[in-house]
Amino acid sequence: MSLLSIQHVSKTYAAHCALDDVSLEIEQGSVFGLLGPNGAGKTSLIRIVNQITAPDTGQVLMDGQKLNPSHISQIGYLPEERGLYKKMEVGEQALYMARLKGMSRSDAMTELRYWFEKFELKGWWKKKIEELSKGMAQKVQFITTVIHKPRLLILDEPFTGFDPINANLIKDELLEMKSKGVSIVLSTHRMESVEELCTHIALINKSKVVLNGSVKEVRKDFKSNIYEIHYAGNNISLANSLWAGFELISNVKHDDENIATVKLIDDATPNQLLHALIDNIEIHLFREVTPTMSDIFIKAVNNS
Amino acid sequence: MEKIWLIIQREYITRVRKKSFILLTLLGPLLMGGLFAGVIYMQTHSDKTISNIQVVDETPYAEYARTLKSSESVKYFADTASFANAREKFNKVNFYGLLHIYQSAENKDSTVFQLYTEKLVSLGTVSRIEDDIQKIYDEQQLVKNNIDPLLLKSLHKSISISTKTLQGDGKDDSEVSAGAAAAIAFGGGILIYMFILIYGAQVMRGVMEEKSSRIVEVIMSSVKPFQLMMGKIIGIALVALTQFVLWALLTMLVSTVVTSLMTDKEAMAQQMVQSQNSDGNQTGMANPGMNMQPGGNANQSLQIIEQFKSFNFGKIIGLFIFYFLFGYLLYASMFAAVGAAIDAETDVQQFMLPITIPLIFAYIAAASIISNPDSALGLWCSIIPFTSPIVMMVRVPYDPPMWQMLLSIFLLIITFITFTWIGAKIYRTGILMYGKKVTWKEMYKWLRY
Repeated sequence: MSLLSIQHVSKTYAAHCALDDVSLEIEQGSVFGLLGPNGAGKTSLIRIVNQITAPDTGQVLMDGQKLNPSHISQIGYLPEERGLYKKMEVGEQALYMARLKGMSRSDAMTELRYWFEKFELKGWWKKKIEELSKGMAQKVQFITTVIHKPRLLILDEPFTGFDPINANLIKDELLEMKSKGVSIVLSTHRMESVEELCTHIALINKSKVVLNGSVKEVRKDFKSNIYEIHYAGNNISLANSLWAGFELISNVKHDDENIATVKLIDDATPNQLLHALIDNIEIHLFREVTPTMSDIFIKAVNNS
Repeated sequence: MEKIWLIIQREYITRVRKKSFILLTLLGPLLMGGLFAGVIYMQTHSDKTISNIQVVDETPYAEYARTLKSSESVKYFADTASFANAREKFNKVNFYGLLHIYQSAENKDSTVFQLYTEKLVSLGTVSRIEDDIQKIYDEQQLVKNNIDPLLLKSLHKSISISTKTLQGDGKDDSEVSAGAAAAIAFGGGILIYMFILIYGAQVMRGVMEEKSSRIVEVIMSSVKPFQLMMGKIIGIALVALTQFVLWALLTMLVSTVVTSLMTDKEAMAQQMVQSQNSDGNQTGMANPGMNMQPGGNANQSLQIIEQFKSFNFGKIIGLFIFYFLFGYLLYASMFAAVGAAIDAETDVQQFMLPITIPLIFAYIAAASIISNPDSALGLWCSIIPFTSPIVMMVRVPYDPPMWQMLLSIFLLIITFITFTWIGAKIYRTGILMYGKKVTWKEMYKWLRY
């Protein structure tokens, strides 16, 4: 059973439709990439899951139960528009946020000590937020998001404000949490982090889900059936060896090496292509051209 | 409920710990005590600087120069030299002014009084000299008309009215002073006006801070908007109450110390005066204000304090706290809604004005209502909830009818609930709306989300 089940959720603000019959399933221990152009309705969906707003129609279930206030302590939310009380002390603020999530003071203190040690923030407990660098403030913000050990983590552009080193630190933390069974919803425009982290993705465009599934499935759906061949030999003989099942897309010479891209048509297989070529040219490299997440994103948005 | 308590705690503690709060709380009573002492001082001690006046009397008998009596504040020095001479030799160091008295050239019966001074002369000094001259002139006229001045003096008696309100149930009629009532009325009204404005604005700033620092969405995932708003409003109300209670305690302390210092040294003189009075007072009215001896000063300040004691302070303070709290609560939710709706500091004035107008109106109306507490203006303003916290507070020392108070309290509570509901709706939508220029029309739309 999935941890979070979003069923036929619609939400309209005055004349503007933010979500239109959105259904998604988020498995336990998955990293779910929630993608979509700006203004597509991602934030509206996230706010519904966080019970900041309620859907007009449809429902959201967590563990098969309709969302209710008891779920608040099981969700950690890092919004894109985020911040902290600038004049408040770091430790005091972290403690406040943890207690708002329902933790007792002593539990919160224990956890905070652990995280402040881990993120090298120990000496900063008594400092005010405004004295912190942006990266450090983001670390504190991250701690306040995960301190209560949520089972579902919703992160909206979590890597902004981090240098590459700290971004990796956060990434490792996320992977560790995933291995412990935490489900993570990641909303981002940084496709490389989607490629690196996500097991599932959903694409929302103009308030509708236009793409949804595991990364593997989606890649398969967007498979172009194009293969790239690096070879030595006469480029005319390559063209001549192709029969009706193949379509030559490009064939160029690049640094003493010929590179051709070939698309398989109908039921032709890569093996048949290799068979056809292998007697005529010397093959150095043969690989499938897989679409990047960025390609998929653009293609799906344009198609819908 | 536990979360709202956490929010109240945070709002309260972060504010009470601020240096500005501590400073204002400590300095407030000193300022108020100083004001209190200042008022008493001014009432009891007249100007003590002495003005030396050189008098050149060129009337035929030079009667003024002979009879002008020096008082505590003005001393006269008769000079027989001619005016031209005196003017030339006028000693700026020794004398404040030169008084020239002469017969008018046109009319032999008319006397001209001309005062020359180095600096611009104060009104007080002029009126004192005028009084002194007037006395002599009056006596001259009495003598001219064959009336004995001493006889007239013995017939004269100054009258002062003491006020009591009628109490049923065989209770003693309570002695009250219109002046003390006005002081309590206006003081209470001003305090409520100040507290609503200062702490209402704090609610707005707090909400704006949460919105502009973008912490609000993080918190919204833990608590409901209504909880956050009410937590803030209640937390700040407690801050205001803390400040008020500390002010009240410290003010009492400071004013007790000040008044005891001021009255102690004159207590002896005052006792003597009272014993003198007791046998000579034919009317039987204990009226310390009548005697002209120096001890009267101490008596007056004690009397002022005595007058305040005649009020039912339990009722006044109880009603003050009620009107203060509910007036604040009514306005705070509106301030919170505005803070949530606006995105930029520059919009503050535009949206704050409609909220502050009723407050300012009530404040101005209070001034005229004090002189006529049961007027139609007073009645309406003390019943309409937007002005009632200030205006009813002004009327309370004058004992308005019970039904008016109950109606005013009832309407204030109802309006507070309604406006908190409306404020919460605007707050809920506005707080998560970024980068959008808000209009009144837009805010009205949010009510129906």
